[in-house]
Amino acid sequence: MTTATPVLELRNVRAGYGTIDVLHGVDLVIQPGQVYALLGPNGAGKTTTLGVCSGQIRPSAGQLLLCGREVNGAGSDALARAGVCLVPEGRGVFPNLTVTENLRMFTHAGTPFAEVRDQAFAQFPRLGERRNQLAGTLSGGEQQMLAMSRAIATNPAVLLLDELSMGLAPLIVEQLYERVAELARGGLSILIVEQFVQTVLGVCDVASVMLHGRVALTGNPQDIARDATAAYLGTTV
Amino acid sequence: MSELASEEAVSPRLQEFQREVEDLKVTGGRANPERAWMIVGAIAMVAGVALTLIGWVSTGGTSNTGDFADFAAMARFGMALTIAGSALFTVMSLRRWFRFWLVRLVYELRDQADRVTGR
Repeated sequence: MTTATPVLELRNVRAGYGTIDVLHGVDLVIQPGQVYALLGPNGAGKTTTLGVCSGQIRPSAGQLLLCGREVNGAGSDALARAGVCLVPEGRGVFPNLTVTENLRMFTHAGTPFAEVRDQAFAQFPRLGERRNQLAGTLSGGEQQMLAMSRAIATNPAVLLLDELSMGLAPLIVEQLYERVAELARGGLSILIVEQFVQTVLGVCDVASVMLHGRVALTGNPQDIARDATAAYLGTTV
Repeated sequence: MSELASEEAVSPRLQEFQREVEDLKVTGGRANPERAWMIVGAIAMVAGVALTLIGWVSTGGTSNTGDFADFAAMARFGMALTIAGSALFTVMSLRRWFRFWLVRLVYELRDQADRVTGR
């Protein structure tokens, strides 16, 4: 499903930390219901791009648009309430709260706690077994499952996933991406940031490769799978 | 309203999202607003010094009391501008520096938390 107005768009965005620019003019367009994979090596600016999309980092130039409206300067809390959900790299949970207490925190969008808990335990039965365990003592995969529960429970319109596979066993990664594919089938627009190309290309509609703070390559997953290695090594673009 | 709302295929959730986005209060703010104020401060400093010097030199070259008073006022205004510009420049420089320091502190704390939890 595509419409003339993208659900999320970056136009020539420049952003960074303090005085250091990391993004040097990023253009990106995500249509409603699309799964968009943003690939690239360490330090390419992928996480910073997600920071801009979620309102955590303000662009120093360029535009962030949601449904065609420029929202530069909108706070991350306002965007989260509107329906932009970020699952950050391995840090989407409160480590000093139990699994149940974390799930209680996910009710900020108005979903009743019982519904959040039931959905989370139905999607990830492992969390049910660990309900009274501190989130900080869960394995990496279980923490990602807990973070994903937030994405499922809060019914977002745009989901931003940062390095879902980082440090996880392939079986767990496969399980998590199955959930992502299910969410995508429900019409959710998803921006996935990944370092490992093959992990994500099976579930995305469009993929881009980022290098040195710029989008160097964009295309369908098959083309990207073919050209990504060369792009990573800097022999194209 | 953008043309999205008129699309038949748009899901109710997306329509709701669009309404929420339309209602967002956006400041249009950009990163590092201090930079612009630093430039203003620097310009004020330079202009203030120039006005003070011109006023000082001019007071020495006139015997007319009225002109002397005007030049003295201009010099005093220049000094005030210099002080205000310096203060603005200093405050905005510190704000930029503290922003960067805070980001670094957050990353170090996260790193430390990772080490404690053994990730």
